[in-house]
Formats: sequence, C-alpha cells, structure tokens
Amino acid sequence: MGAFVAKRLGQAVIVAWGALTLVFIIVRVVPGDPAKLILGPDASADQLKHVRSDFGLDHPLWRQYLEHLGGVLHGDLGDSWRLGGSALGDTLERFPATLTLSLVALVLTILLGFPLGMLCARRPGKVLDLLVSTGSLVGQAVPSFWLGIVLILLFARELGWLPATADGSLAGVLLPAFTLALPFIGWLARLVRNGALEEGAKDYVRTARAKGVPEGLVQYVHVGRNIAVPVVTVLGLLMGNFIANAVIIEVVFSWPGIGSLMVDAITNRDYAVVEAAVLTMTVSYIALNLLVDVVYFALDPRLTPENA
Amino acid sequence: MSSTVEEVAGATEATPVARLRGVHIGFGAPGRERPVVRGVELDLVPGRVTALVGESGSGKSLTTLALMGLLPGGARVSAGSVEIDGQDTAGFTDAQWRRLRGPKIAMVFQDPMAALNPSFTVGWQVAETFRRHQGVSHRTARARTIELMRTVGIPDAEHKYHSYPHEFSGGMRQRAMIAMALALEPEVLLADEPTTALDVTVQAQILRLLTTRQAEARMAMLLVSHDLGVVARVAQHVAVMYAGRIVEAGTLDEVYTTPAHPYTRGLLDAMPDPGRPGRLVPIEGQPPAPGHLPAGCAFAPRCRFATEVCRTDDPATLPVPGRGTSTGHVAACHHSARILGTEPEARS
Repeated sequence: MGAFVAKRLGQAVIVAWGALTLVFIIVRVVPGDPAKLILGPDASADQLKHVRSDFGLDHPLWRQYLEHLGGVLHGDLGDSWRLGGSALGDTLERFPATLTLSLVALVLTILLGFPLGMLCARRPGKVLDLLVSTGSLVGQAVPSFWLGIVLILLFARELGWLPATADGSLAGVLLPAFTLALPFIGWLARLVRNGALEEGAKDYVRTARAKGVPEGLVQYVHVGRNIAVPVVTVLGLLMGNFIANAVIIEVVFSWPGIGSLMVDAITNRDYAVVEAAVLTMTVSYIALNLLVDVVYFALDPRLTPENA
Repeated sequence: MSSTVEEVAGATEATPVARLRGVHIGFGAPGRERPVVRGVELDLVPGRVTALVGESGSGKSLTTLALMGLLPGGARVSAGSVEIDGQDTAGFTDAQWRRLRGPKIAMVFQDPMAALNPSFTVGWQVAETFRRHQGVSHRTARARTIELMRTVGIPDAEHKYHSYPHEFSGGMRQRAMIAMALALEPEVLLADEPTTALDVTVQAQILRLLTTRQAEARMAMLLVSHDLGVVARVAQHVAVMYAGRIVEAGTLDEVYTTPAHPYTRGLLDAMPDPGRPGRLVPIEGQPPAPGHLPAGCAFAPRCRFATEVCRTDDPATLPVPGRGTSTGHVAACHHSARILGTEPEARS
C-alpha cells in the first residue's frame, strides 16, 4: 500500500507541474497588461516601466517561468498585485469557503441521488424511472449560472425561504450548493439505478432474502455495498467537478471562495493569484483522486494494490 | 438398503411440514402466463430426504424457490397452493415470509461463490441470520456463528470468521452456506444442486455433512439434483420432473428398480452401472421449450413407447398399476403397465 501511494504521489507531482506550466502560459498569452491595469489609463511610460520591473515582467518569459517554478518549490507563488499579500495566502484563506460549498453540494447529491436511484431500480421503466432519466439529461444540459439565477429568483426573491448570497448561515450555503448539485443528482441516481439493477439480479441477493433479511436492508446493505465502488469513483470526480464549477456559482451567489477570487484575479490580470488558485484546485483534485483510490481498498476486499 | 425403505414407509405417516398441491408456476401477465411448472405435488416430511430429479429447465429450481416464496421477478404461482405447516402461503405478506425463512425453512444454493456476498466477511453473513431473527447483539451472533462454523467442519473458525468469500475454497464456501441455512435449525432444508459447482473430491464430504445434519435434526429435506448417483446415496423418496411436471414419484427403491415412466427409465439407462457394462443409452432429442409444449404428453416426441393416444392426451398422474402395498408410487404415463413389464434397453 505504501508503494502504491508513493507511486500515485509521484504522478501527482507531474500533473501539478503540468497544470502550473499551462496556466503560466495561458495567463501571459491572454491580452492585457497588468501594469496598465494597476496604474490606470493615465500612467506614463516611465511609471509603467517601473512597475513592470518591480514585478519582473520585463524579463524574458523563460526566465520568469524558471523563477516562478523556483518560487513554487519554496512554497512562494508570488504576491498579489492587487491585494498586496501573498497569493497563496489569499487563496488558502478563501479555500475553506469553496470546500464547504462543494462538500454540502456533495452531501446533497448523495442524500438525494442515492435513494432516488434505489427507488428507480425497484420499478425500472415506470414513471419515476423515466422522470429521473429525463430529468438527469435536462439537468446536465442546463447551464449552471442560469440555474443559479432561476433558483435565486424562486427561493430568495419570490418565496423568500433562503438567502440569495452568503451570510455565513447554513441556509446561505444551501442555495448555491443545490445549484451545484442539481445537475448531478439525476446523474448519480442513474448510476445507482443501473448498478442496483445489475447487482440485484445476482445470487447473493437471493441468499440474503432466503435468510429473512428485510428488503430495505437487502437493497441498502447487500446491494449498496457492492455498488459502492463505482459510486465512490464518480463522487470523487464529482467533488473535483464541484470545486471547478464553483468558479461560476460563486460569482452568481457572491460566495467568498477561490472561484470568485480567481475570476477577479483573471479580470485584473493578477497572475500570481490565478496561478495560486489553479494550483490549489489541481492539488485538491489530485488529492481527491488519491483518496478515492485508497477508499477502494476499504470497500472491495478483493482489490489489492497489486491487482488494482 | 432395504431397512431404509422400511423406515421410510413408517415415516410417511408423519404430517408434511411443507407441501405443494397442484402448483402451477408461470411467467407473464395473469391469465396469459407461459406455464413453466405444471401441477406439482410434493410432500416434505420430517426426517425424510426427497429428491427432485430432472434436466435443466424442467422446473426443479422454480419449484424449490416457490417453497421459499422467492420466485424470480415475473414468475408467480398461478394455480395450486404452497402450504407450510398446513397453512396456505398464497396471501402471505413479505413480513410473514421473512419470519419463515431461516427458522422454518432454509436453502442451500448451487454456486456458493455467487450465493455469498463478495463484499462482506463470511462470518458476518452467517451471523446476519442470528441478528435478524433472534435480535441478538453482534457479539452473541459472532459467538454462535463461530460455534456453528466449527460444527459444519470449517477449521480455525475464529480466524475464518473474518475472511471474505474469495479467500475460501469452494468446499469451505458451501460449508459456510450450509452453516447459514442450518443456523436457526430449520424444519425444512432445500438444497438446490448443492454439490454441482464443487470438485468431485469435495462433493462427497458436502453430501455427508448435509445428510448427517438432516438425520440428526430430523429435518425434511428436498434435494434438487440431476445426478442420479447422488440421489441414490442420499434420498429416500424421488420425484422425477420433465417439462414442468412430476412424471414419476415414489420411494427410491420403487423409482430406481421399477421405473414406470419412460423418461425415468431413460435416465436410468443413461446412467453408468457396473452391473451392466457397455455403452450408455442416451435419451434422443431435446426437452420442449417452456411455452412450446406439444399436444398430449410432453415426452411423447422423445419416447420409444409413444402411441397415438400419447400425442393427443396428456396423461394423468396415477398410481402405478400392480403396486398394492405402494407408499405412493405414481407415474404420468398411458403405458406404465407396459413399461414395468419391459426389460431395460440393451446396451451395446
């Protein structure tokens, strides 16, 4: 197991380096001069030159890149031009908000998607099953910013049940989390449904019934445990998805996470903050995948690091 | 051997714990179902092993599952009754069935690897029976399970409790399944081809375990098998199924030494017998597909005794002629008398 984790960590370093490099190139290829944005339209050529040299922007790209990489290795992703502080510090300060939002979305997806899928599997092809499979397609086709705005109008403005923006309360997280989760509830339900139908036809299910185990436990314990591996796989992917999708949702809901931070940073060509935010997302995505792989071994006793 | 038959003759006086009365099982919408099992009569009596013999697809497994109320989706008992302790189970709720499964009637399945849940430890799965029915704590259930695993011959049970099915050998898995079935000392034990998926060397051990426990606890046991050799070693009563019907039933001795149905006769002729060397005689042709039964007797197209009446009239199940002292030897054949008087088909 140790060797398995070590190998995965090695791969993770390569992926993180790749993401870092890509973002470094992309932010610099996109038009827009940070010095002009910092100083405003009236800045003189001298002032611009001064600022550029302050931030090392007058060096050739390869030198900027190497300096950037060297900084990353020392845990220094540079300073924010706009906020003045350490870019990584700013990002990590905002990260818990994004994590909270994503986790609540994940819990909502599981709590609604799993039982829904189990219900569909009981009567495949019946009304609920068809509704869920249609709903999951529609849900994934709807753009999340639009869904967010519709939900704000409905639940915050018309009904007044939930606050539209972050106010630090549990209720405040519900609306953005639900917006994140909604497209994936039907998706998870479909996955659970298909797994439950496939597993439900297996002999061990009949054995459980032959022991006098109540149907609910047969489904949720005996079948549920066997569809856990694919479900955990997609939940890991989903969590990564949520952290990435949060970029849009956080702006719509003014949620103080790294998504809205990143959008601000992009607008202001705050290179260091963009890079720090992307690196944070990349690392959390990799960490999630590693966590999922380790959880597999706990879920399926037949798996070992050798045959995985 | 003869003493066994006498014992059985006495045992038939006992009341059956479970019985099937004219049971039809069909797939499909009510009124338009394809019949797969047709009018099965079966008595399961304490202390007696009844064997249900037939080819795959003859309806043996469905008949057995009907006794557990575990027919697969789409199949249902469309006529007749499944009685347990003299009670018709037709209107049983899930909860009523659940109370019977385990303490009253239990089942050992064909393929223990598939029948065990791959994601839980063997011990946990056996212990579940205790937890569901006796409401005992995990700790008590574990203690009882380890004890039980020992009695079915699983060595080092304390340690093996925590093993997963894939870590067990085939024979050990079937022992675990037997432990699960015997946990609550059921009165009826159903065994659906319990040794078919096992190595030949292990088959005998598993059979011995089943019959020993059956005899000790005087359980009524139904052994589903297509292996006439296994049946001869274990059963006292035999019922032969063909295309969803029981075509012949009686004591082991009656059915094996004086078969009155040409299908039984064919099965026995197709079995190796040291006393009758030579090539085995196969039954020509294939059994009919369910829902595509020929008019008249379902076996007629493959039967060398068949006459005109066989192709038009499905024979009733009647006592075999000339068996006054019979314990219930019956056959569904127009020509039983003729078949009784015929020598087995010559082997070449």
